[in-house]
Amino acid sequence: MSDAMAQFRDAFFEEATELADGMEATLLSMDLASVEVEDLHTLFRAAHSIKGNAATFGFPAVASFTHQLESTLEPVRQGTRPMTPDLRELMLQGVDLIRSHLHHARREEPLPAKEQQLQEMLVAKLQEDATAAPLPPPAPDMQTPARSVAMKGGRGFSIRFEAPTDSFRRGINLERLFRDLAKLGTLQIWPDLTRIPAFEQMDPEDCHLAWDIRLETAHPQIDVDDIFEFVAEGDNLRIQPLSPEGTVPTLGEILQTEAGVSPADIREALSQQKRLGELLVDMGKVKPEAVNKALDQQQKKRNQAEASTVRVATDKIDRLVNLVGELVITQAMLAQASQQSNTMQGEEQMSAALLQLDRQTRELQERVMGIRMVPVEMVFSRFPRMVHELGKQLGKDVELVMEGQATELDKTFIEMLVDPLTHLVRNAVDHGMEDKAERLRTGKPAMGTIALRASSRGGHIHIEVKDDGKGLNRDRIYQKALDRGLIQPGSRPSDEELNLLIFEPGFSTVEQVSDLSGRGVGMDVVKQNVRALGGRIEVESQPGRGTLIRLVLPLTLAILDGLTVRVAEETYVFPLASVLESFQTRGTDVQTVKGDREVISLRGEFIPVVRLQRLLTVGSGQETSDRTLLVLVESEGRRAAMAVDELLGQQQVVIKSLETHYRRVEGISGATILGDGRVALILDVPGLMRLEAGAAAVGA
Amino acid sequence: MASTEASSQSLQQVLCFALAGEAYALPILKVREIQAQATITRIPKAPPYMPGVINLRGAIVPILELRHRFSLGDAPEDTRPVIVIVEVQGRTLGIRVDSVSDVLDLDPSAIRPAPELGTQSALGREFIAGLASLPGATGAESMLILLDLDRLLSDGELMALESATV
Repeated sequence: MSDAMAQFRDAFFEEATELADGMEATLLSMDLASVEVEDLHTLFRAAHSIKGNAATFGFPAVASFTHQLESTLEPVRQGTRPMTPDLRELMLQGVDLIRSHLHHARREEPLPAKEQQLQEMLVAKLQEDATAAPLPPPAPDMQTPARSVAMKGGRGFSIRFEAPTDSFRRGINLERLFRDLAKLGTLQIWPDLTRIPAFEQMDPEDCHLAWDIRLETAHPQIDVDDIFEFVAEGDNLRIQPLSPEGTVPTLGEILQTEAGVSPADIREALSQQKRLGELLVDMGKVKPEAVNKALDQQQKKRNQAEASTVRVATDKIDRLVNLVGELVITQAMLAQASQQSNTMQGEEQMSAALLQLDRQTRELQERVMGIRMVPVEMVFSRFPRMVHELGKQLGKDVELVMEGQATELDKTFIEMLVDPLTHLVRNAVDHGMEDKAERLRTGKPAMGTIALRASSRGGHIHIEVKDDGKGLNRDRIYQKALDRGLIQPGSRPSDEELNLLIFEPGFSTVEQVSDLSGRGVGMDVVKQNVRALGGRIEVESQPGRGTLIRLVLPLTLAILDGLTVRVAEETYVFPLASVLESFQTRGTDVQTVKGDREVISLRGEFIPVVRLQRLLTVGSGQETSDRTLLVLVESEGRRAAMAVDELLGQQQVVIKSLETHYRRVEGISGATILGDGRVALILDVPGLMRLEAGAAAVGA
Repeated sequence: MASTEASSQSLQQVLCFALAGEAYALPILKVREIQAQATITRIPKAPPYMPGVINLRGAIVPILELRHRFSLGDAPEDTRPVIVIVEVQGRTLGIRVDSVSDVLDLDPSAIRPAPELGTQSALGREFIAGLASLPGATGAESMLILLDLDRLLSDGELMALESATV
């Protein structure tokens, strides 16, 4: 396939997925009591566009299934069939199936058997309902001008048709089907008699016939679909376009036309073929695990290939183009100024141009970073459906309120936030929310509310998941933490610290592990992902009032607000997000416990002191002055005071990877380049704490 | 210049540099550029022969201290080390040497395998791709040690680089 075609196909998949998302959103927001006609039109249009485009790009399975959905919608749109909650559920399942169709079509694999079955069941149900109100043929549609393109036929079709068992009883005129097909073009038919049972078991009124048909025609697939309209049920009809003119036909196709081999025989021959992996395992060349691993790898590669595109709003690109235009002008100004740099005027021009260049580079940097920013809606959009499903499953009335969907986040963040937010929302509905009876008993409205909010606050993005449920049971968390040895007996952690314990691995206070949550796995993922993004988690909870979980994330991964410090002769950068305060103390304020562990008492709290010179093995390791400069840092609820030699300032630094050419260094999260061209290392606060703990353990 | 009459394809171009008074050479195709001394930022707990990183036009590049690698002791005060930037196995790396002298065309046939060296030599035989003798200006021959960069690094620190994901 040519590159251009592949590109169009990608565009098709993206568009079709968006359309499916749109259908889902419309279905969910629909008020079933008084259905807006415009909503139905929207649904119909979306289905129709998916169908048309799928046919154009050669995905007949997608097209024919979407056609079924579309036909179901038609009487609803005409007002002859009501939109019932049941029908909505069926349609939602249909949307899911379209998605999995697209997913598999993109990988060029057939729909898995499980989904095939689902599809059959769904189509049967849709038609079952439809028999009550007879189904008119799909109306010619004027809304999509793309139709003429979309419906343009190829070289023809290869059709497999299994007559419904009750064809005779229903009085279907099977001959007419073939007569109609013959009108479309040249027809080759191979009857398949293999489905006929043994004579004793045969009911003469059942029809067991099947045909493989090769139809050469310029007509579009929809015409063929129309012929089979009343006999197609589930998967008894499979229509595949013949490979287009100009491409090399498959061996099977040639054998069909030239040697008259029946498609059934070819299928049988093909089914005896094994997959490469199986063959290799049989030959004893590789272990099955190796094949599985390779398959996993392949899958990962595919996923990566899919995830590597960003959709950028045109106005963002326009602004970039303008900016680059301005840069070119500035460059010309500079060139001119440099030629006459010895004159007064030239010098003036030069400094003006440099000023301009400065502004433009800064803006360019911001804008280029902006390309990576996508609205948080990309993650949020999946939740209305999820909450709807969860509520139904758990028998709870839940309303989802979303705010700030337009808040922009780095693309990487969006991808890494999907899992954590899914877990948080699921937990909120499953555990946070009481059931209806209990809510009424405690004087709350029966309808629970989950709020998802995103906002940008001073260099950070806040994402909040809030429920109005029963709140965290801190007594139980305390007990559980004691049992698991997460806290020492007799210690008195603050409410905040207790709240954060729910993010510890394997921590779940729910006795009953439900189907959805309560295994204590999900919350651990939340912590990991948020930490990987350089963010932190805050939890607020009031018994009986609800819980608020806030993810505080940096704006982007590439730039960090840092506090630069000097340790011996080296410069290091603390991420400002983990710095609480810095202060100077007398040497005597630092007390020693257990021989060499140093602590400092700060407002009644004992905080371990970490000598960075010693930990990072820089400088002489001997503190000369009796005054110590301490930077109080916090990570995962633990605090430490890091002793440094000088505070240099606060600045934004661009994060560079150490791993590209070097390797990961414990305690160091990356590097940056300072104004004077030197490299400064960025400290990884949790890593440093682990290092220190390790050093203490060895020392003890 | 050695054997200019030989066909240019068969000649191997090497970059010569000095280290503690001896002449070494690297295949020129591995060399990306030569940098004057840059400030090295020390990496905590790094081995002495790989003390830190430098800023190479925005990329963070580790430095290999060849004197330490070969246990040749510290450079005398008056040397002004240069950094040879090389690319090995997809990574960029700076090698700190005393000075860079020349680019030579070597006839591969003039390269002899290294003899077995005694255990007292820190520069194990495995790092040496071969020895070449160069006719000196006065007629006396001098010796050039050809380094095998891949082995030098795979043997030592690069292995650590690959596996270090602790």
